Amino acid sequence: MKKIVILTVVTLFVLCSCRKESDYVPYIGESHKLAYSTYEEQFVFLWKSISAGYVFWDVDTTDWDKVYNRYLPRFQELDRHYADSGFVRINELANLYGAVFGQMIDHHMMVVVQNLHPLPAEEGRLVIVRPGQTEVAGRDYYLESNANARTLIQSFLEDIESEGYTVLAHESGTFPFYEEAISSNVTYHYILFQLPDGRLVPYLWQSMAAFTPVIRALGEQSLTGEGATLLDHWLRAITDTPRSQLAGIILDNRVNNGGYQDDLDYLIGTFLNERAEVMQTRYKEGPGRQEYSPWTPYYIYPNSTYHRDITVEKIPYVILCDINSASMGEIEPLCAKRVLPTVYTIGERTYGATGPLQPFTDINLNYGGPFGDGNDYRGHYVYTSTFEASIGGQVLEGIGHTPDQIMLRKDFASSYKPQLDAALNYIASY
Amino acid sequence: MKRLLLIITLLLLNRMVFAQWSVGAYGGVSSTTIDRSQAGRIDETYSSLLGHNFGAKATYAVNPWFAIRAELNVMQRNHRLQRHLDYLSPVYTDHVNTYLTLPLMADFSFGTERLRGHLLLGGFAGYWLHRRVKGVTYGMTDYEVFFNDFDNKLDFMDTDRRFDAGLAGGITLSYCLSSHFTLSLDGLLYYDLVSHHKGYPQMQDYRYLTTSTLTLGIMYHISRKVQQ
Repeated sequence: MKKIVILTVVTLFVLCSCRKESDYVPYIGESHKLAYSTYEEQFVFLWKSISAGYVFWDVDTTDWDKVYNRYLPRFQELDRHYADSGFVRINELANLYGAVFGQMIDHHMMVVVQNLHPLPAEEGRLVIVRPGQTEVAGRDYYLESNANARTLIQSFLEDIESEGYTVLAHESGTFPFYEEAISSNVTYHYILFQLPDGRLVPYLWQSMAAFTPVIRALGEQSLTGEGATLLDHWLRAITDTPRSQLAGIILDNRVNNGGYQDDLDYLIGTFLNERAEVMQTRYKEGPGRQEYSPWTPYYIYPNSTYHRDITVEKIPYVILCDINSASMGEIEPLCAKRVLPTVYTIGERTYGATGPLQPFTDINLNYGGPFGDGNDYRGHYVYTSTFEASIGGQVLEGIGHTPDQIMLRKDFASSYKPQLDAALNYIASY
Repeated sequence: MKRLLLIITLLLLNRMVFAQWSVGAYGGVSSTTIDRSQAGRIDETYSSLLGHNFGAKATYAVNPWFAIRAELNVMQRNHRLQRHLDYLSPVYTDHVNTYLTLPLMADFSFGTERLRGHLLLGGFAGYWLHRRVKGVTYGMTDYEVFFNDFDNKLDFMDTDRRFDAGLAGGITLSYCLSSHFTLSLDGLLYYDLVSHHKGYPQMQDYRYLTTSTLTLGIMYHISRKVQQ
């Protein structure tokens, strides 16, 4: 009996060692890994980081394993090319990374890669891949002038009265705002339109979604405080104008390329009586491609400073958007449509960057989000979504918001006027 | 050939004289840890969680000190992911996994007629029946973190391997209540040798469960013990 027991125990102990060790899986916050000896090593690190930390694997149809098999030999070729010639041209590297990342649906994504062995004449040049921008530029309603859109719409707004509108008030300006790691400027145009029947339409154009950091400066003697006063005037015009005088509201998000998620507290919360779930978010909880946290509801609460129940009062709230409305610039109409029945959207299908980002928080937040050297671009930097958002049960990354009334600028000689006309006409006839 | 068959038949009949079948049922608790070498890459730790374990078992005693034991049980193999980043410390996920498990073990026993100790050694095969997650997750605004309770059934994905197999073993203390009934207290260990995550062709990420169970059972001896 003793021999049998010993033999069995030994066999089981031998079998215990049959568990296998996992491969090295970088987590996305591992930004210290910035130096490589070969192009192959650089590619494999980026490939593994995206495999583990990309938040859209549930909806992105890119076959990432196929990408590895197809392009690894190409990067190995680059290493051989370097060994033979002593350099690799930036275009060769850019073409390869363009093919590797070019089909990914994360419209926030920007991949920056340092060329390890550049030609002396190409020293310091970086490979930059923006798959979202590539996709957007291929849409049939994309205009070359979109590259210059911010200047064009501002020119249009500055001469708004000469476009034939009745303007009772017009305040505009560019205002700085400062947050922990962000220092930027935002431009606003608050216009109080008067319809032919005498009723009023408070209108706001915002170059980016920075409502929250600006309005927090209300009352301060600063340029940011002046911006806050402008926003306060728009909100007060909405909340304080008698119903008989208030025809509707316009929020112009054309060219608004994103910003603060908390802006929803003003742009939606002002019009709520009780909390409302506008979307759900989730994040990568582990390195498996489908290893997600559960969906977490994102609620907007009634704003404590400004309030008007536009649903009960049946006040139309028109949001203008276009192909350049990105990130919060499109999440705002998407969320507003979810919870405010009188919201109506006009313009073009938006950019499609719906995944929230937290680029300046702890790198240990979760397994997804931006990684690498975002300051000096040593080795690599990948700007990618931290969270996946689901709005109305749909992940709209790469798709964006499709307006209720589609009006393409390309059909109107690139003019910004017809979309605004449509908004005012909708309100006038509501 | 006929002579060989005759010898084998006689040997088996000889064994049958000593053999007795027993069947029974048991229930108790399980505690599971997960071994995944890529865990903890941010700040998360995995710890064990209690679950339940109940099932039926049958033993076939070949001789007074050796038996073959088979079981069919439903076993929860639960574990917890806990976050530790200061502002995320309320966040955790309890993975509640239910398996149908079939252990087959050699049962070496010693002791008196009434009170016996058993050493169990063998293996098991299993099938992942159901998975559920519950706990607290988080979302963020630009200025604050908020938390949300959840309790969701999870669908299986392509990367989940539902077939499971590994080693099983442990010790049992049995107390003979009568000629037909025996009470047993089992402490068993289930040690996965199959990863429940399939991984990817270019990046393997193995995850193994190890489960300890403590169960109380009762056995009914179908045939009375025959003296050698």
